[in-house]
Amino acid sequence: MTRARLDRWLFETFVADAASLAVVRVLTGVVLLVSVFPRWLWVSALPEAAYHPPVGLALLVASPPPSVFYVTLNVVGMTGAVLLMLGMWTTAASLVVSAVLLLGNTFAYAFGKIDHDILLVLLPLAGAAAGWGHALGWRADATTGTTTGGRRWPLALFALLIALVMARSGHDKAFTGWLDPSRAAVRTHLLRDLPTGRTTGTARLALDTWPPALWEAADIAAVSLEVSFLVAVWWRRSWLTVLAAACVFHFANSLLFGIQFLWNPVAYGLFVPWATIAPTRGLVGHWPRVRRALPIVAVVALLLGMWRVGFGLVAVPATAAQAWLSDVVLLAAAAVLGAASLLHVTARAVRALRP
Amino acid sequence: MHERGLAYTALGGLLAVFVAQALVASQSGAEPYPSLAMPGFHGGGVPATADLPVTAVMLDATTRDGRVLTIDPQDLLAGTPPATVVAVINYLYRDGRWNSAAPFPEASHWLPGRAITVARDRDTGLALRTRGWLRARLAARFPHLSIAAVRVRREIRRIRPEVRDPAADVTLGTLMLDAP
Repeated sequence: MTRARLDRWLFETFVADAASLAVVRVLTGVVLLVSVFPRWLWVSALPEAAYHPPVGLALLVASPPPSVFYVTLNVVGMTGAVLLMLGMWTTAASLVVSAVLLLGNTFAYAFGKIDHDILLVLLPLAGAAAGWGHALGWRADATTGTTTGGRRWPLALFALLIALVMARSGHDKAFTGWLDPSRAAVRTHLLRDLPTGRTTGTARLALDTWPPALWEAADIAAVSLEVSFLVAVWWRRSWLTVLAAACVFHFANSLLFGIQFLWNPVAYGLFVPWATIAPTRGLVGHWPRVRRALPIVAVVALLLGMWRVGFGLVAVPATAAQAWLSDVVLLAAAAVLGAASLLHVTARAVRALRP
Repeated sequence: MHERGLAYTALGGLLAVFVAQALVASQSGAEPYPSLAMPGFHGGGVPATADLPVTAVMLDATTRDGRVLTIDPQDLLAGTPPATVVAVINYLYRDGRWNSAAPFPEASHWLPGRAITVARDRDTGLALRTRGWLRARLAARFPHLSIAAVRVRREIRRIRPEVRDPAADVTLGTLMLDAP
């Protein structure tokens, strides 16, 4: 790639308007409050003997912090999420949310299991760098959708980061047997999950009914989609198409494996022109009126969040079940949008092929 | 110009961190945190029509009145992510962790977390050191039970349909909860 082409990709491919970025900021705040926090409250139930941190910040500490540490992180994180929703001190709130997530995860993942939610941690940083605090704010009027956000290159870098991590995952799968026609990797992972008790009803149905060809197709589809991120990232249209397919993929994963990568579709949202499409155009247009209700929304959200932290301390399973339900609903919404986008792309391609 | 330099520096940094982490993870087999990675879910496994032997660690609790109850670690740690429960239980109670004579390994202090990781990975008595935690956890989760001992065993289930031969279970060790 020549320097001029790299320049074009870095500074022109992923131009986003301020209102669209701000829609994702509000959505991120909602998702953080509904689905992400409260978090890590289960850590205090684990034995200290199981604490053996991986390479990272936790190497500096010989024992996990007490439960008050996680409660504090939850309260600070939820306050940051409310500020993101309101559009107040958005840069500071973004930094705080990312720092809280990084710190909490550092200790929660020091017991032998690392969850791959790095996009959740980096999303607020990428959004703030791209300028998601420039519209739909507490004081500012809604922009018309034509104003650009802040810097242009952070979005390009965030796209590349997403492409790299997904392609690495696809690479690992491709070179460890997912493409071997004599082995069914998706089915094997579902079988391995059975003793953990997290197997979904959809997974049991699939295990009972899917023919071998469908299992093989699932293996190939997963690897193909993950690798295609790195191919598509260089052109905006192909990037959006892959992101739309990925929203459907994440929903299918949540149904089959019960693992929710809700933050991935939210992170993909940074590349979508929300201010120009139907579901969110109304929010942008009516923001001056919407923001009048924000103080009430903020107070209710914060009180609800605090109650969930308190409730979570005494009833962790119930809190986990609530989060699972909200994740599935939000992932389903993302999958519907993704599927609609794919249909739109297909229809346009068919029209273009007509003589 | 300043903006352009910043953008290219950030691009170089991103690529450098990504490549370095991927290399370290592939060479050492251990994943750092934070890590620029999504789950790899390594493949292999079984053909689409074959069943699969799956191992699981289970706890047989003996109450003071002589009853024996099987407790799934997922119930003991309800609310904890299931995959974390599996990781914790397998780490604590695997073979070679039940040597009562073992002192806790010496650890250096220049990176306390690293020292504790190395020490615990080599600790041949780690399972026995969980006695106090297990006693407290069982009392919190099952307050109506008075449990005196817990046998930790590994069972193998053939899936699907799910079949288990109890005779094939392997006892990993037994924790007497009344011991100090």
